[in-house]
Amino acid sequence: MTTPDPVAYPPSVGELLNRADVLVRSLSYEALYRDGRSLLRGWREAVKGATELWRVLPQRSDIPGHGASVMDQLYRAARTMYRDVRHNAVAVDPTLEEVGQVFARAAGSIRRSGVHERRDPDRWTDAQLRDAFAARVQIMHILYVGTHATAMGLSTTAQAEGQDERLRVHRVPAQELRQRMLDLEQLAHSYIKGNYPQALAGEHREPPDESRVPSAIATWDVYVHRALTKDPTAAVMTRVAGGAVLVADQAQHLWWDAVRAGRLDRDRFDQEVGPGLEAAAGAWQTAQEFFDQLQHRNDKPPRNLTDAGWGLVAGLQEVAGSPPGAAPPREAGDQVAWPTLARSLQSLHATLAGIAGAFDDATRTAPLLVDSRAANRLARPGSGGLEAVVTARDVYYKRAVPLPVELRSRATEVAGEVVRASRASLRTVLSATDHSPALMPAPAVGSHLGQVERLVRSVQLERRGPAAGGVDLGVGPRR
Amino acid sequence: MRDAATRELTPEAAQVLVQVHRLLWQATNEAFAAVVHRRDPRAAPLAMSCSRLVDLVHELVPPSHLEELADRPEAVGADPVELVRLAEALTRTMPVDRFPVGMSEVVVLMIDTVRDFS
Repeated sequence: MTTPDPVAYPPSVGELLNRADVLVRSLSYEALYRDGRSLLRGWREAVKGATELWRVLPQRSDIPGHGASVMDQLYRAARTMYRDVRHNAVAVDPTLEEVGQVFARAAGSIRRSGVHERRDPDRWTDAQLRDAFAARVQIMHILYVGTHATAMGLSTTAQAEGQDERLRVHRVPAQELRQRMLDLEQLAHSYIKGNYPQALAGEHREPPDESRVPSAIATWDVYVHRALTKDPTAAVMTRVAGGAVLVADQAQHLWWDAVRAGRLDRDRFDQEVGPGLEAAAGAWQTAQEFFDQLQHRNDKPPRNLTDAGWGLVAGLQEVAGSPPGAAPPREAGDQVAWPTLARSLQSLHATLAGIAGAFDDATRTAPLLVDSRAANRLARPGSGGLEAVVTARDVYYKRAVPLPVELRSRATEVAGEVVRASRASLRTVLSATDHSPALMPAPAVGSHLGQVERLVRSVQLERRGPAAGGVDLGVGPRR
Repeated sequence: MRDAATRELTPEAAQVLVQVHRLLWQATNEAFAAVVHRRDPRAAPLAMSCSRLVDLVHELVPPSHLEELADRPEAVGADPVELVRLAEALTRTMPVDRFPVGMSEVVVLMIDTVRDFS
C-alpha cells in the first residue's frame, strides 16, 4: 500500500491501534479518580473515531449480520448520551479524546490510500480480510475497555452525588448514565466474545527488517558487558549464560537452514559447524547450571539485560522467516537474504566469543555475590571436610556473600571451558563461510546494494539527517 | 487522593504473584530442557519469553514475600505453554488493579506467549 503522506515513516494502522490500546489500558487504572462526565464526553469522541475507522475497513471482513449493528448502536448511544451531558461545564477527558483522534488518524490513513474505493470483486485476499477482522476485534476491544473505564469513573461520580445533595444539579444523574454504560459494555463484549484474542493471530506482519538482528546483537553485547563489568552477581551470570545457550541454539538452527537452502555444505555443517556450536552451547549450559544453583532469592538481573536477550532471540526468530505466531511453517531459504544473515551470524559468534572473555574475567576478579546457603552446600563436598565455608551468621540470615574461594576455582574452570568452546565455534563458522561463496558477504562497503536499494537507502539517510550521527552505510553492526 | 502507583498490595495479591512466579519459573526450566534435549527451533524463543516473564514478576513481588520465591520447581516434562496458560488464569482470580503497576504488561506478555507458541 502506498500513501502520499508527506511525513517520514507515518505510523501504520496497526501501530495506531496499539497506541489506542495502550491509552485505554492506562486509563482503566486511573478511571476511578477521574470525572465520570468528562469521561463520557471523551467516550463519545472515541466512538466517533472508531465508527469512522470501522466504515473504511473492508465490509467483507465483518461478522455477517452482527458487526455493523453493534457499531451503529454504540454510535447512536454516544450521540444520545452526549445530548445529556453536553451542557455540563466539564472538560473532555484527554485520554479518550486522544483515542478518538488516533482512530480518526488511522481512518484518514486508509482513506488516503484509496483502497476502500476499489470495487473489483477479488480485491481482498483472505489474508487481508483476516487482517481487517483482527483490526475490527481490536477496535471493539479498545471500546470495551474504554466503556468499562467510563462506567468506573461514573460510579465514583454517582457515589459523590449520592452523598452530597449540592452535586445533584444535572438533568440525568450519574447513576443512570453508569447503568447505560454498563449495558453498552455488554454490547461491545458481545462482538469480541469468542474472537478476542484469537482473531489477532490474523494480523498482518511486516517483513523482517534486515537491520534488526545486527542492532539486536549490538544491544545485547552492550548490556551483557555492562552487567558483567559492573558488580556482577550469580543471577547476572545465570542470565548471561542462559541467554548464550539460547542464542547458540538459534544460531545452530539458522546454519541448518542454510544447509537446507543449499548455501552451506552439508558435510561441513556435520563435521565442523554443528559440533562446534553444540560444544559451545554445552559449555554455556554447564555455566548456566553452575550459577543457577548459587542465585540468591533477592538477586535479580537488570531489566535491560533480560530485554536485550529477548530482543535478540526474537529478532533471530523473525529474520529466519518464522516469527512467533506465524501460521505457515517456513520454507528454508525462500525469503532469507543469506549473505546478510550470514554476516549477522558471524558477528553473533564473534560477540559470543567476546562475551565469553568478559564472563571469564568476571569469575576470576569480581566478588560475585551468591546465596550463602547454596555456596556452603556446594563447597563442602569438594573440600572433603564438614567445616563451613561461609560464616554461620551469613547462613543463618540467608545473606548474599562473595563467591567463596573453595568455589572460585570451579567457577573459573567452567568459564575457561566457555571461552575455549566459544572461540572454537567462531573459528569453525568463519572457516565454513570462507569456503561457501553463497554465504560470503560482499567485500566492498555498499557495493552489494543494487541501484534501487541505493536510492532507497539514500532517501532514508537524507530523511534521517545529520542528527542521527553521521553517515550509516547500512552494513555491519552499528557499534 | 489515592494514587494508583502507591496502592498497598494485599496479602492475597502477593500470594498470587508468588504462585505465578513459581509457575513461570517451572515453564522456563521446561523450555530450557526442550532446548537442550529436543532441539526444537521454537523452544529457545519460548524459554527467553518465559525467563523475561519471571524477571518481570520478580520485580512486582513485595519484599515481605521474597522468601517464598526460594521454592523453585525443576523441569518434570510438563508443557511450558500450559504452565504459562495456568499462570495467566491465576491472575484472573482478582481484578488487575489489586496488583502493582506493571502487572498489565505481564498479563499481556503471558497472553502473547500462549498465543505465539500454542
